[in-house]
Amino acid sequence: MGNKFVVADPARCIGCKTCMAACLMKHDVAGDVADARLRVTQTYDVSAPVACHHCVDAPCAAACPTGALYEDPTHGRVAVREESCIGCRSCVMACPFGAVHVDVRSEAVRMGNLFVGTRSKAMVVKCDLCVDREGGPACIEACPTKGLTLMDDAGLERLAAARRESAVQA
Amino acid sequence: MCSIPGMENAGCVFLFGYNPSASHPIVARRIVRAKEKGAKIIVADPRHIETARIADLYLPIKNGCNIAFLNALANCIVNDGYADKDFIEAHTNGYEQWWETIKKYTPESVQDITGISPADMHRAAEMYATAEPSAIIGYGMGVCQQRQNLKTVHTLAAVACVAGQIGKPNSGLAPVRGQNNVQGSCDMGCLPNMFPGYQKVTDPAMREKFAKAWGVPVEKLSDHEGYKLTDMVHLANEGTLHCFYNYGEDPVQTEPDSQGTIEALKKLDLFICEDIFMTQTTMYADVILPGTSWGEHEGVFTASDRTFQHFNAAVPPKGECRHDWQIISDLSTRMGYPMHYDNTKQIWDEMRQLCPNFYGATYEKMEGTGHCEWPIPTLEHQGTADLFPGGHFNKPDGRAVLIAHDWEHPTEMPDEEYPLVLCTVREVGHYSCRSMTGNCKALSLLADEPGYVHMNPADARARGIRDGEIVRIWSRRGSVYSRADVSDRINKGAVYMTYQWWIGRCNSLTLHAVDDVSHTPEDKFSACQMERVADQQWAERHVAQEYADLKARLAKEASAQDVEPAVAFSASQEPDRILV
Repeated sequence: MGNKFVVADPARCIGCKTCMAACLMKHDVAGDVADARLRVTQTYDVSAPVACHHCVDAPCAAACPTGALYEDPTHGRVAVREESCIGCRSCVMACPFGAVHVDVRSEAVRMGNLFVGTRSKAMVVKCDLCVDREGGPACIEACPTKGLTLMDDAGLERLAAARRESAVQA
Repeated sequence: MCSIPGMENAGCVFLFGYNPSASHPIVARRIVRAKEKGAKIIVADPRHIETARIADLYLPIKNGCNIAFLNALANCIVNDGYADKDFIEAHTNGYEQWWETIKKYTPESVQDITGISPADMHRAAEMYATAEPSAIIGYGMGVCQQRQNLKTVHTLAAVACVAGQIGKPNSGLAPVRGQNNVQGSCDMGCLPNMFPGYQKVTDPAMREKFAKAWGVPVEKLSDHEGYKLTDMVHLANEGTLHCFYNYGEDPVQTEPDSQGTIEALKKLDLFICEDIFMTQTTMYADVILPGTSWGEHEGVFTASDRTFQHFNAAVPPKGECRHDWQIISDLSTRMGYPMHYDNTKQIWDEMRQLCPNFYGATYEKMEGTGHCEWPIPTLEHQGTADLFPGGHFNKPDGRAVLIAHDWEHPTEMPDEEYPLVLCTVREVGHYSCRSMTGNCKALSLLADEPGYVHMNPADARARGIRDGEIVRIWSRRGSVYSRADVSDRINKGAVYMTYQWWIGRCNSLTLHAVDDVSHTPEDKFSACQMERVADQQWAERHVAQEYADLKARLAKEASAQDVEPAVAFSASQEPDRILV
């Protein structure tokens, strides 16, 4: 246990995608993929961004043949070792939330300082909880309705306690 | 008539032709809070918009039904016993005549037009009229960009009066503007019939006052109303209009019937543009004056709720760019009326002296995050959140006039050839004509050309269209390609496009029809048809090429500025070189 994840309150979501823009901008740096890790998803009745749940028994990590996806207990998340990704997309197939995708980009192949060509490099793109960002996940900070929260064990316990309370009152 | 923050404290928020989540996310946030504080939310919109999800009552009205719907709502308010008889008696005129029209509009009689069941209409009447302590009707372009726009506003005002939901805190109507600072430009007299502060040009006393302040003979100030932007096309076509000074607008992109607009621009003798980017309109200009962007200038904006806010520049202007007020001063001086200001505060203070309702809104009060909500007539005044306190209206006898109108159908009804209603709307992300945000990487990665046409799954299925495919949409005015966005939030029989897309340009399709008084285009209703493009690979390449070509044309038009002025000047002095 101990993993955290970004969770949305659909009653507060106004579908503005500011969370997606914030996520994309956080990752728009050299060596990273400028893409939103969470997707605002809209049905007739519901609007909410969907992001990685950082599952404790993560099916994406279990499906990964090279260990590119792994449990990172230090930060309470499922993390990515990008150099190991071979682009097999087993993780995409395994994720029950549709929260993982694989991006392919082209990078230079060099022998010493000599440029000899390019090759395709795959990279798993998923929520990393912005662990290298001061102030935590960029999406949570950007949401204009404060509809996103970082759920952890304490938060889950508070939620469960509230549910138990309403259960005995019912 | 209430303040935007006040929306949080109403007992009921009724959104009519207004989608705040797409057009004003900050207002949408207030509505989420109002809901959390216990307000009832009513949404009347053809689409199941974001706010409809949290609504206590969602009314899926048909496109183009506004007056029929509101008349039936008023009919229910009165017939179900929710009319505020004391308020009507004490604060309004014309009730009997108003009722003569309204009494015909039972919800049953117009159900075919509105699409709303009588039961829901009665519920809406009760929820709105009985809300405590107040109810607000928020309306936007869904009211204003219709054939019967002004008449719909009359009807909305009458509904609020009859229900007694006006003239008290956090009540009445909350009209929102379509763009940043539209309210401010109206406040400052950027209207063809008004001086600053809504003082009529046809009023001799006002002309006298402004002539005196500006040190000109009173005959120099025009005594009749000017033309409106949407008049430009036919005036240029008939040869009445010779020069058009266009400033901060991209009418080719944003006005109806783009091709008609382009042809009119070409007929002008002199076309001047003041802008910060090369746009599809600026391309046709004879003279381009480079202005400054929002981050480069400071000044005062007015929000939709009459709140003045001072804003600061983040960076100084670059190159030859100058502030709009400096350009106007210089032009005026060269045209024979010397005009000079050292800063915007001098302009603001002059304006305050001339506009009694704005007099107390000093720069000092607006320092930092300070703001002033007009009317604010004295230096001690704190500003006015709610208009018409105690039901006292701005008529000579202080009473509101109840006006009713009969419903008329929109100008261009769908038919066999053009069976779909085309309605232009907003999407989140890019802003306005997209000249300012089109090159913003984050926004274009989230949504890019050729843009989107939003449709119901049934209309998509009937044409073999799948979500994300390129489709062709056409009307009596033109034909464009766009990308299908299929969603059951969209009502059947209508498609929705946003005027920000350059390739999937909805205004190549829209109808240039305006109302008689405000001359606002009927952007919310025209007829069109669409089909799936059979060769999707060709279509993807085609729209990408069209966008690349357009950007290249804009860059070429703008390339004249790549030469340093001093270099250009010395080059032009050399006899063997011709500088174009």
